[in-house]
Amino acid sequence: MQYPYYPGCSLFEKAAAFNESALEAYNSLGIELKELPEWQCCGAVYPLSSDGLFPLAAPLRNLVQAERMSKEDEVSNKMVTACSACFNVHKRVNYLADNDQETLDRINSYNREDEYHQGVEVVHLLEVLQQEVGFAKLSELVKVDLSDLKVAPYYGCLLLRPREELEFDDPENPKIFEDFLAGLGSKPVDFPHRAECCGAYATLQLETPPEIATRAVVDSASERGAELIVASCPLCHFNLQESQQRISQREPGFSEIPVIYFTELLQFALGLSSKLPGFDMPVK
Amino acid sequence: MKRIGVFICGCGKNIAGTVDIDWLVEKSQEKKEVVYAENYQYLCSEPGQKIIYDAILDKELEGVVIAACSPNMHQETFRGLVNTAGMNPYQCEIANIREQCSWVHPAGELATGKALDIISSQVAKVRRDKDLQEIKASLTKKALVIGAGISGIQTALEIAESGHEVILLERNSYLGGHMAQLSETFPTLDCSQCIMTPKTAEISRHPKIRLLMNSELEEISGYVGNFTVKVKEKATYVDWDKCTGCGDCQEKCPTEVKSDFERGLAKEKAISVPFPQAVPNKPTIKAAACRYLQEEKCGVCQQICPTEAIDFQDQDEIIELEVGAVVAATGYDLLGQDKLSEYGYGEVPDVIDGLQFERLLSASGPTGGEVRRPSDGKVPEEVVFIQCVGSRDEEKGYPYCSRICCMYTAKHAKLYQHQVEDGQAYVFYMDIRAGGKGYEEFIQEGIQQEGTRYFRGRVSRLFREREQVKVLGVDTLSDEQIEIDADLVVLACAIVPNSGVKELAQKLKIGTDEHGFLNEAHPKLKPVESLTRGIYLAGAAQAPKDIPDTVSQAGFAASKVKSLFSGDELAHSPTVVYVEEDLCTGCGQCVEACVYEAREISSRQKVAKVQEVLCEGCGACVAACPNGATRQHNLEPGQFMDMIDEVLE
Repeated sequence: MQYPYYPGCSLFEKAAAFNESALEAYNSLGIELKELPEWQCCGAVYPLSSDGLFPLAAPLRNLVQAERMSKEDEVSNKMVTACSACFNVHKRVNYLADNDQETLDRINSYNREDEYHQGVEVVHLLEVLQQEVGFAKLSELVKVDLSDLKVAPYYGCLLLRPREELEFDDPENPKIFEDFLAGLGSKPVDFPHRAECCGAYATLQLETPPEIATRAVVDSASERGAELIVASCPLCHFNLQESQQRISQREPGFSEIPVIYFTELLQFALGLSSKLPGFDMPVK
Repeated sequence: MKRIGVFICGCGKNIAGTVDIDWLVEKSQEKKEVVYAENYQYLCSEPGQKIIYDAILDKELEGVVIAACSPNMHQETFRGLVNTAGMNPYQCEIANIREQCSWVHPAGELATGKALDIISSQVAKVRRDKDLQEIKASLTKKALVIGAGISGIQTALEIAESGHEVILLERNSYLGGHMAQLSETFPTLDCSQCIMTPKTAEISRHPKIRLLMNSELEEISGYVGNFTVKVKEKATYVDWDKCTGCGDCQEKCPTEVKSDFERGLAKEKAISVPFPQAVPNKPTIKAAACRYLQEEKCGVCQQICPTEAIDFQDQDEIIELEVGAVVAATGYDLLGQDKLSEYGYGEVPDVIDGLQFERLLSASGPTGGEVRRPSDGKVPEEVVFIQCVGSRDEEKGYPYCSRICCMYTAKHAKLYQHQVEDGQAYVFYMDIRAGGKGYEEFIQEGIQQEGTRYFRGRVSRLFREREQVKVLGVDTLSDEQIEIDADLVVLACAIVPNSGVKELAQKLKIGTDEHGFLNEAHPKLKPVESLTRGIYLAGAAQAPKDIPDTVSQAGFAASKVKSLFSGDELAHSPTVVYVEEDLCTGCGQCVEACVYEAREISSRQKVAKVQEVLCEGCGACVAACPNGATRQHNLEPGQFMDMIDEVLE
């Protein structure tokens, strides 16, 4: 089955590894991610001001592309996103389109091409894997033994809330990431900071706030024995890595935990790559 | 030619401010057979009633129309009044020109015109109204009280003390309900057991009270004064008549299960009395846990019982009873904490609910009254209490306030600080609702003298961190983020209706609100009556309430039963349906239409019959009857057409 795929800008720059690992791993599982023909940046932040309709035109145009693509044979109407921020923005714009016809009409009027007709469902890479392959089935396809690997699933904040718009698991006690990791045969680490914010865009101006935020996340994971953190968001990935590097330069005793994208772990588990970035699997 | 009087009420400005009541008097006088019309500011007042009374005698009236508020308000008042003046009460009709006219329309000619139409149709009805006599029904002066918590106990005792027999039904094996689990009670801090045991002892020896323990209502039929009830008495596998309560079986039984009474904080034997002070002090066997009942192994209890009271062949038994009134006092439960995953329940052992904390405080509880936390038995040094868990939370819980949590949390904090001198109690609250006698003082005492720290704000999350529970919250008064490493967290979970109440309400044919609490007939004026006559409500089954309120309401429910039992027979309204048997084909559509089970087809004559005392006069069967064979007294077919004609004129 083919899926309209919205990679998002960072997946061609800093997070290229996210894109490449996703494409390879998902293709091998029969989920063919078909990039939208003409997409643009979604804005990366959902505009919260009440008159912020215009910024919604860009993500809506992406949905129009996906809707058009879904009319082709053998193409799903589920638009797959990778980055948590892209998921958040598109899902919320789609929610608005489904529930507020008047606003949809107004945004549609900004677009010169087709109108959007509410025909697309926005899903995250994790969801499409759960729905189409299933984590139980996934465990049968795993080629590499990860049974000793303790992995901390880091949700971040953008995947889960607002609850009624995103409908992504239970925001107070999410399970999908843990189920995914268990499906790969690894040991998911239950750590309380898995859905706390990493500091996000504050990192553009200041170093300290994201450092405090990521420190809490990393400490919480390492205290519970995590050897690896998996992320689903390029910004989380960046903040967690950068802050750790800065901290370890300052504090010689600080031991970093490698941060990778969950698709990289999937790719490795399926035997499609020989190494995890920044992490040497202990030899048994 | 009938002599009819029309009396129009201004209801202060409620009616007079919208419709022209002088004009209505003028126009009413022109109606056929109307010999007198008058208006007055408040007809329901004493001078207002005197006007009607005098006019009936002076003008020799034979029928009366009162144009005023809804018949639900004052039909009874006015029918009683005309009766004292010697008129048949069913010659008095109410024209509702308030709720159905003045309250819903703007002032003016249109509203006044509609009021006249309403009055005219009632005049047309009165023209053909006949004298009717009340239907008399027999009365069984015996009450059934469902639930033996404090509200059921209070109701049963008060009815029994007036000399009437009471059957007290309880699904557990002990009396007292949740009150038996409590340590001390707010705001006086007297011991819950101590104030309740005199009552439970009295119940168990009262000659007028029959206790049915381990029993649930299975089926109920009949009507006020004449209910037939089937009760299922569940198998206990112990013959309580033979058992002396010596406790040998409980000591020797090898199987342990989680104790419901201790809310999972302790274990009990498969054969046990739930707690040492239980009344009756007799054990029951939990069949699912008993090795003999499951695998026919063991049987130790049977071997050692000195009175041969153990009976593994015991079976559920159905008991049939005749009662005249029922009081539902089924109590409450707490919202399961797993419903709110941000509070980590089920995964964090040192997060407990309010009733569990009561057990930790109770001298007869699993820790002997010492506050020790469940995970490792350590005495907690920092305890966080979170209020409104699931209450006042429209998104994830319930919109209502559970009413008792502010007070019991203050009590918990106080009792804890009394016991653990170096300990610190923290309370997260939304508002403090302490509206009772001595309640606010109690709260202030806790803050000022015991040093309980109150934060106005919510807890966003809690999770286990090493040996403690990390609590993250906010104090919205100081605008600070609060982080506490607590040893124990106590959740004031929302009060919800007890399990099985919905099914019980269906059997009793009484309503519940959207959350499952039993519905009273009127929120202000009929707080203990249900919409089904002869069935009353008491205690937290109707809405969350504390012990003083529960006891008051229970007393009121008991007095309702007592006044029902004060006569020798019951009177039923005669405006019921009847059947013109010559027209009836026995098709049975009336039986289907009736929700009160008042209609049946006579098997011998093949015509429809009416159980008059069950008929509420709703008219559904009259409308359903294809032949016009079912009719209603004082709403005869021609009479109804006259009423319509009058409006259309």
